[in-house]
Amino acid sequence: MPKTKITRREFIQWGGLTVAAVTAGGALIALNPFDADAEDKLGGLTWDKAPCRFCGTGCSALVGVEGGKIVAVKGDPESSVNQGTLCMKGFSLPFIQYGADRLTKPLIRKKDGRYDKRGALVEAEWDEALDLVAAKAKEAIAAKGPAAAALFGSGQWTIWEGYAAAKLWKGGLRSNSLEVNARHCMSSAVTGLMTTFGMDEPMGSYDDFEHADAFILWGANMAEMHPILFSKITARLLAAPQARLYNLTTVSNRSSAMAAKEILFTPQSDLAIANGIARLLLENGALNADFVAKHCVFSRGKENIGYGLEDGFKFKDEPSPADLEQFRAYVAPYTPEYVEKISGVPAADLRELAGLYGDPQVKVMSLWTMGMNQHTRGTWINNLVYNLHLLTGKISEPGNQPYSLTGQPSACGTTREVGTFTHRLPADQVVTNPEHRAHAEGIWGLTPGTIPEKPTYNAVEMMRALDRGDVLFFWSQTTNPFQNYANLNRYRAGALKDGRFIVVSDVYPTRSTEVADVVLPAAMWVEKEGAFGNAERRTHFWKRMTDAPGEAKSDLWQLLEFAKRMGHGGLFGYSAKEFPIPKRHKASDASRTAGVYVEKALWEEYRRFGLGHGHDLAPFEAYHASRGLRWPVVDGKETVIRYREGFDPYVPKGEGVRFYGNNGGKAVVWLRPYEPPPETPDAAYPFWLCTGRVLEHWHSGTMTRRVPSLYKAYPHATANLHPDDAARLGLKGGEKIRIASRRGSVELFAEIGGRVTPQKGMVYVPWFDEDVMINEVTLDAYCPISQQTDYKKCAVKIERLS
Amino acid sequence: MKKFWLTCLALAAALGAAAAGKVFSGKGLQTGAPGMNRYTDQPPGSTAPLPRPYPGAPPLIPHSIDGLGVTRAANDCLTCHLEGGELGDGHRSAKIPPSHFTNPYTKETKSGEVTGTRYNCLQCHAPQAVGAVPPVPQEPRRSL
Repeated sequence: MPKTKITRREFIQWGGLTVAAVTAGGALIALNPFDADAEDKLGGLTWDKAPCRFCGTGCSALVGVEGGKIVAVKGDPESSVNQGTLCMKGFSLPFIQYGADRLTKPLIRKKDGRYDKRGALVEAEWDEALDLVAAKAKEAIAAKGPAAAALFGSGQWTIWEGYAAAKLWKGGLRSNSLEVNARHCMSSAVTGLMTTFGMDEPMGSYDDFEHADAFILWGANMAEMHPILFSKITARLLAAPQARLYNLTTVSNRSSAMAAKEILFTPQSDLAIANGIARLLLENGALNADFVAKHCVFSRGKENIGYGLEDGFKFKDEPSPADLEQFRAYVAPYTPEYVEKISGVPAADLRELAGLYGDPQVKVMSLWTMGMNQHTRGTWINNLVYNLHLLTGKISEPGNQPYSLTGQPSACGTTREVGTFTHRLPADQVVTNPEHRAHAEGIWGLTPGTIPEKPTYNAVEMMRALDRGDVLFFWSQTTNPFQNYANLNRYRAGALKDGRFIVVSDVYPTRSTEVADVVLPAAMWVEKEGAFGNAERRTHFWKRMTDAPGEAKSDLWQLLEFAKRMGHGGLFGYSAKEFPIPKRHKASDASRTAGVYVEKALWEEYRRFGLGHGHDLAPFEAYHASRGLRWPVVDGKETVIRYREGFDPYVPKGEGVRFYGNNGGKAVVWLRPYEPPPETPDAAYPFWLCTGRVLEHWHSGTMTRRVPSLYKAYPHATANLHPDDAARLGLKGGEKIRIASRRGSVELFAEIGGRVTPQKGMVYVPWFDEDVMINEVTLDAYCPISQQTDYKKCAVKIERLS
Repeated sequence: MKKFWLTCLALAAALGAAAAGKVFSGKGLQTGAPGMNRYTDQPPGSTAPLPRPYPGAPPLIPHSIDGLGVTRAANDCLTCHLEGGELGDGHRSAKIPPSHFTNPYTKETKSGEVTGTRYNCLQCHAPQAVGAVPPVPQEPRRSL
């Protein structure tokens, strides 16, 4: 690399100039990167803790406030999650609230001073906006029943926002049309856990990273998507010479830099790989027969189950019992050679992986997120990876864990634990079970029979119903559906049809506010009091630290005001005597309006759902006083590892291990086949398209693209191509291309040799960029069991434009 | 720079219009066209430092990182930044702060050995694209 010659004098001038420019404001500045003690110069701020607003890792940040604004953050040294550091997104938290186009007033689409679907968004008062929203919800319910009024939230709702939403929708409106973007994000993880263990969420914790000898990534680019967890893997690799990382992936990515081996596989073939490893485990005598006999049963479900592509698609699995010999026969066809044929993974690599899983001396963590979850057989692949840990007994002990990671700060705490899905109720309960409904109606003080017993629409079907006109009222909070749905053209067009009423609560204008009839300005993160739950069952709280700008209000406040207008204010009529707002407490907008400590009232009611059956949460104050606690919290003690005696209070003495989520206390080893995806490259559409994220940007980029240093680090979504494919297309990096599927197309620039290089025959496009709506190209196929969309594979063609 | 001020003007106009109770587009960060990310090809040691976003924020990378790698076997960033300071030919590099040498599990500090959880430099430090101007600026506020 040629060095540009620069004299020392010039260099110092440059450096001096830059730093001087920053000091021009007059205040004490420590922005000079040459100053190693910069952090120590942050005097005079008020500091408090809050979990990071971004991914599901759940890092704790210390938030520095001055003059009512956040001006700095630090990694929280007292949190065992991140131990004093943050990733670059976490370090950008002081900027996410302060984009100059923050929404500060409600907006209503109007023409000639009246609401008009064809009108333009104009400012309005809260009363007018909320009255209109409530009137439209009533109109929808009157026209087509409660199911026609839909609420769509996310794993970015605080726990009490999700809980209030569930109570209002299911217990108040009597509508099960409640879904979350987490359906697109980790519902395969949920159904994988529910079908195997009968209980949601991982059994291990982040403590396991310190103990594992082999880390096997199943389609998870943790170096970019979970950087702090990847830093724990790195620490282990550097500290323990025997520790190894294997990166099983469809694209070559940054996680491979630390890996002993990067193993590329054809999309969807992870099913065959997992069965191939299981077959080798049995062949190699690596079966832990004692563990399997004591703690497992075998089961086989339906096959050839479809892809959820049709409106109104229905599927119900019908498991039948099986046994070890049937399992052995079932996986017998998955020889290393057959698996190599399907997956492209060399037989020797498959044997190497089987060697790791099978060696009793090697503690194995399998880790995954969207690669396995956004998968038309997402439930199956989750089941099949659990099989490997169950067959070897490498589960529920330090360093031996199958580990499903999450992408949103409260995908676990809010959507999964509260159960903000059409079929769910809090604490792993479901609306289809009369006892569960009765339990909820009891806690909510409702007349028996209030909660409807039939689920209505999963997230994809909800949007299809909006397009068809079965859903007429659609309200989204803390998410950006009109950028994040696959097969987006259909759904954006649906939202614009007459008679559809779209409400979007958000902090900034997005591709969703663009199609909204009403936009409600939201308070975010530390502008309200909150609670998130991360991917190690850790519930953590934060207090309000700043004011929301203008008239922005929290989603909780919005839901409670809407409830009053719908005649359901009584659902939230908590007593100020029982839940007084403490003195000197920076109460939230919701609490101030109610004159009650609403967050505490909701929490204490919510936690009644989980007590006594393995979902125990602690009293409210315990979370403000700690860096979070991992449930079940029994007698004030958190649970670091579930299902293992000595760690988990629910495992009776002498049993060693008990998978108590299932009746009989046993986990299920599933017989599941490889089945091909619904759309594969062909002559007309010869490339795979895989979508995902980049380190700098989070989801649709609403927050991170307003942070100057993150925007500049990765301004635009580009299309990553393999150099051989680029050569075949006569393409150079930086040339403009069009990527088209049967559903839509985008124009963007090709990048060759970027941080991601897909396998040959594949193009990778992140979805954060509002100017590159890659979801107009993707396919809305989903796993029939989890109903989670597969964003990782469809067929596209690439045309050179420049 | 011109583009930046035009963006500011457009934004001010949009905000002004909204403030006046008039029309609001509802559009966010759209510019109407895709873009390409281009980074400096200036090698380490040849560029001026970039100011941190705030005190304690991870410094941004002002030079090209092409060809530099962080693997289990070697971390090319440490070549210059482990000790920091003068590079001998008139260049100067930022020194890694003490926090990066303390093992968060054991609390032990080993000089000359960046602790594992801080080893992946790119988890916090990023180069900045050339000519990239955020479509929306930050609200002006007093910074430290």
